[in-house]
Amino acid sequence: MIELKELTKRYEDGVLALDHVSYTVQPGEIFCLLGANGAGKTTTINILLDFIPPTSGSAFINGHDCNRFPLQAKKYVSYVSENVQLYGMFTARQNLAFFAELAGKKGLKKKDYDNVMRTVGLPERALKMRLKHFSKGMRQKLGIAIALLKDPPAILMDEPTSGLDPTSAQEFLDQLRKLRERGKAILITTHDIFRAKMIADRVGIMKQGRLVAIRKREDFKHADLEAIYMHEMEAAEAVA
Amino acid sequence: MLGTLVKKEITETILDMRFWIVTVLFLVLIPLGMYVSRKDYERRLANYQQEHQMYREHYGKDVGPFVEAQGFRPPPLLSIFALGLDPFMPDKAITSSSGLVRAAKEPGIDNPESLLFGKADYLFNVSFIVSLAALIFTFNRISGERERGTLRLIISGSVRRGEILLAKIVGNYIVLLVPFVIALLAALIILNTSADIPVWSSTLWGTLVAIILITLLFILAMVSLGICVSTLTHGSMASIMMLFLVWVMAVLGIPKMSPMIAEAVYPIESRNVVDLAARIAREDIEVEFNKKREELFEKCCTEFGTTWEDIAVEPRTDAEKQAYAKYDREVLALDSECQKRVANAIRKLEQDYRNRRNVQASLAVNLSRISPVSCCTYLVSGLCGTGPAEPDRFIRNAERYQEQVKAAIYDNWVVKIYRMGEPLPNIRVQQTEGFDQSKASIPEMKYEYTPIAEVLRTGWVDILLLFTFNVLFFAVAFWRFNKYDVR
Repeated sequence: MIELKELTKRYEDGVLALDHVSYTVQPGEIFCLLGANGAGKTTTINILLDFIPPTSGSAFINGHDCNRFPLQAKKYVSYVSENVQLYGMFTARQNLAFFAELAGKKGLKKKDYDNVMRTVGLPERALKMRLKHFSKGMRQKLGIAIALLKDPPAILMDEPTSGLDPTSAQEFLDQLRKLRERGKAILITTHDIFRAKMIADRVGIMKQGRLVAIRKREDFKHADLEAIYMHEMEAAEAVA
Repeated sequence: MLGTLVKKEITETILDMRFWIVTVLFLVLIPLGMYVSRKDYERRLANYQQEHQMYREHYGKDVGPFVEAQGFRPPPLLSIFALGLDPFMPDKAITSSSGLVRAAKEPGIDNPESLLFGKADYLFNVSFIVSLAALIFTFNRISGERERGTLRLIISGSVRRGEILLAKIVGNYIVLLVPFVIALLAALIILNTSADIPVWSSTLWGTLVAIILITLLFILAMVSLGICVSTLTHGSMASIMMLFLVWVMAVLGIPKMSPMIAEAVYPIESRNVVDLAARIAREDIEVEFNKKREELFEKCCTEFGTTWEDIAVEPRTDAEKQAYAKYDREVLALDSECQKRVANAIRKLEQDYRNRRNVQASLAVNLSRISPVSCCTYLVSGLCGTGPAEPDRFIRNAERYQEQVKAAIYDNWVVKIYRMGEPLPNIRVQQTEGFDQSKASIPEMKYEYTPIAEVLRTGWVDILLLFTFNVLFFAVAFWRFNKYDVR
């Protein structure tokens, strides 16, 4: 569903952000990309959303090349950023309606909005609240609500739990599980090894643009993921 | 998709404090400016009517051969919208029997402060306030959304960047037009309360529609410019700096600097110098021909055995009558040649001056056309009869009036100069046959301002440029936004 083939990105200043990265995220799978700052996690998402072009290689969403046919590819993906920023002067409902209409979902009824708010754990009365009064956790949930309204087969999340309090983060993970059950292919970039271990079906470990390891859930379910991560990083360092 | 984006832009702008500040500003300044301009026009009209009437009453029957008839220029009705060059335009044309017409401007300024600071008329409000509002509305529509992170979210969807850009222009344009149109309607209602101003008359309506259409085109150009500025920066602070730079250059820098640059690059002498040169040329020719007339008269007198120094104004003896008769026949050729040479000399000086003035003016106008504010100003002031074409228009009106007075008065007098020098000038003045001085009166000057069709015909460059600015700003914004880093 989300597929990267030998994806490479070298910026104008010469920095190699991605170095021949290949992997696939299947429907009903949560794939967490782990790595230090500058490892290339966000660059991957930026290429998938056509914010920047790849230097070589390809990225696909639902079989559509993200660089050659970005509008087609983006029909099948939703994006939840590290810090969901919506229109502060709009109410939650106005924000939902706008992004739903952009995704082609017109004429949604009140019950549709109520349902999605319930699903993400936001009170229905929040629909009438202006976004500027929302906490970060509420905004993140609303970001998921927008993704749910679009109902695409793939979801990209860039550091989605960053800055969330433990309760909000836990609620967020619950939402992710529900999305996985609905067959979504979810790619998450994160520094949060603790929560990656809780939610991921597979983790990819990145270092300086290279995907140095992919571990399945059974590899880290009963192990220390942080230790695995450190081991892979050191191994990659030694190879380099 | 476009509809959704436009709707969002409209909602977002209406919820923004900027919209309400601009609305209050428009609702106060545009109707107030119109009210003050209306009062100013009524005062100028009353002054014109009073001066005109007093002149007709006291001097209207003065139709002597050397009368200096005065033709009055009424204040243009639409100067309420754009005062333009009106305060600097001559108020009247004064004719002369020599064939030269001169312009006169009353030096009295009733309210000098208003000229010192400029009038807050419709054109001022559009070119300064509305243009600034258009830029304030739009300067960070792209960069601000990028800063807030909402642009990433929109572009992560299946939305064309061109659509986002177009929606921003359309949405902000519509929102800006709402307070503008309300303020304009209020201003027109205020205008309509004056008995002197037939706002809804068919003659005025066409010009008003043209002014409003040009204004709408100008506002669209400024909105597009604001969006274009927004795509050139990646943050609101940088956008604000760019906004001030662009506004100052477009509204103040380019229009004000262009005439000064033109004067420096292509200097010409002043109008006063040209007028003085024309007067000197005329006097030199007249002195030369007066001498020739005296020689001719002396020759005629000698031929019939009389002495020219002794002849009084009226001939007495047969010899004197014969000398006069011969002189009257032969002097016609001299008079005609004198007039021709005076006219040619003045025409040449005038033409030279106008050619050089036109080069300088073209340079200034074309330089200033880099800014859409200049294009709008030329068109609107032209339609209001206060534009840069009006000084030439005044000269044409004055020359036509000179011809009118010549036909009505000067041509009905025959002035014969026999001797200009000592001991006394010998000049004979006669009325032509059929001319009744008691029934004659000084003709009225029928002043014609540039018609709307001519303004639009000569202003096609400015109309085309306003369209071009719209396309250009959108094209630059489109090009920039397609490469815009939304991260």
